[in-house]
Amino acid sequence: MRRRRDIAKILTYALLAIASLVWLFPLVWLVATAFKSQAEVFARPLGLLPSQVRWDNFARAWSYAPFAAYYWNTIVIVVGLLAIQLVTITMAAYAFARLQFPGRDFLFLLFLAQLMITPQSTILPNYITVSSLRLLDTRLAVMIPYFASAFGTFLMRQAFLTIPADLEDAASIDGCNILQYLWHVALPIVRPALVAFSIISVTFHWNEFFWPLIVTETARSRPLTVGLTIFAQQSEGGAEWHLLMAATMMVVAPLLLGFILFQRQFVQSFMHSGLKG
Amino acid sequence: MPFGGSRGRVGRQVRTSLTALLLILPSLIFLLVFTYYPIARAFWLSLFKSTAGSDRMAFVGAGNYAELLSSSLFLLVLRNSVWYALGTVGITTGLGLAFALLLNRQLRLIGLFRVGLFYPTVVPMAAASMVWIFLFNPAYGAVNHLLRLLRLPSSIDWLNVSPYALLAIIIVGIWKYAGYYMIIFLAGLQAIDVQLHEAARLEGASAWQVFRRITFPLLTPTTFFVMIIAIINSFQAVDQVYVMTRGGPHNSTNVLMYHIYLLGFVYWDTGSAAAASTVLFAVLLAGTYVYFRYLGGRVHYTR
Repeated sequence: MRRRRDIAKILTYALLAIASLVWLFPLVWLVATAFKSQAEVFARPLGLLPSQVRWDNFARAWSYAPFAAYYWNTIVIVVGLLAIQLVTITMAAYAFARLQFPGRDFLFLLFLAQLMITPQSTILPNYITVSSLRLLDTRLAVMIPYFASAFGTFLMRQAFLTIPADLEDAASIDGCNILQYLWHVALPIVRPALVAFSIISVTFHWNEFFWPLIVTETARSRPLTVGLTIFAQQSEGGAEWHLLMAATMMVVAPLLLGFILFQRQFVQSFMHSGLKG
Repeated sequence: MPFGGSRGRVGRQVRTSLTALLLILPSLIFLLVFTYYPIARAFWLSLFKSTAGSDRMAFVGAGNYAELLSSSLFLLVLRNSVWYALGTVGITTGLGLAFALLLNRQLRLIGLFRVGLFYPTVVPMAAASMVWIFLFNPAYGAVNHLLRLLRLPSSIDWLNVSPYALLAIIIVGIWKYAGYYMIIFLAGLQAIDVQLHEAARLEGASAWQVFRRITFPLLTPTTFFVMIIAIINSFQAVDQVYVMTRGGPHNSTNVLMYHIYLLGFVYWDTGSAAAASTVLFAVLLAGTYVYFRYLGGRVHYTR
């Protein structure tokens, strides 16, 4: 019995180790190549580690394309969008969780149904809308379809429902208005839900590619993901894989570092995302 | 209602309703303009044919749909999308479940394994695709290099030869999503009462029996949820196609979303693109509808 359990444990470790190695391989290869010289990329036999760590790959990649602008665009899009979403979802979620009003159930259903409508199926008409609003090639165009979030509204509504009504009454008796109550009492209590939503929103929009690809045209509005593919197209044929991987690393590093530092929060947030409603 | 305490019941009710409307309005406007209106708009546009070189749109009714369904290219695109779904959904769900089962215990290094399997979720698909192009390079890519070390066929031109290109796209899809589904399965596993397992083990049930008779049935709602998400994700896949193959070679990786992109934004055939969007929307809606139908049904109780 004891022995069987040991074997099971060793087997578990072995399987997990193999799977993790396979899954980590692209990342390891990315990092290793980003520090290699061009000659080493094509060297035979193929080595994993660079003979000499070449930090200047990053400086060169950075100077070959307007990465500073791309970075700034991504940061403005991600942070600005999150700020707006936090306001819209908190307001709507509070109304759905705590206020009685005619048509509430119907409106809630309307919000619920948005979860069924994936962004990809609305790309074409949304492009036409954004274009007729004269927003093409702006950061606002990248953000605007996501200003309202049904998922965020749900997450926050669930959180608000856990707050006892007594607390609200007490705040009201003490002379708080709704905004004061939300700010001083409710939001601190629902902080975990806010954090969970923030992590998912930031991850999703940092990584988003297709919608920004379509509505952006220049470095004025292009985020990192789109800028990276433009950079790759320009360097195609030149086969400067070491620079391309350095650029790729600059795109993926911030979120990866955040994930490694706040592993628990990331994992728990994405668990939330799987338990919608 | 606690807030906005004004005179009288009716007055208070009106004030509450107004407050609620004001709170919901911002979300509602954006929801209507960027989610509901576009669906109607796409359907409306799909009934017209745009003529090259002019802004005039001629009403063609179901003409665009008929044209799509009789086009061998569109049928090929649908077939590619179905192949992609078949290639990714089952394997990714299965791997997600397997990883979750392996990780759902007290082990040293568990955090490391979890990071190693989950991290693709936080990596942009476009950037990951860039790395995979490099890995799949026929001459100096690591994939063929590994195959050579294993003494397997190793001169495959992955991204330029069918069916390898679609296989490569599928591999990237599996790699990207398995860790995310693993996390959802882990959440499902943690919701299962540990005492059930302990009781079963005390009764002398084997690990396989516990999984087959307790864990798996209790996980059915989670499995169902993951599979629906996986199907929806698979029909939305486009980033890696755009970056890695541009639908090639010979349209062998041209999937539904990429085809919509070509029709709408490269050929500027708005009517056909709108019709294809509506088809995609119908497929995705069917998937999510099934999911929401069963979500309340708690699948494992009905078995």
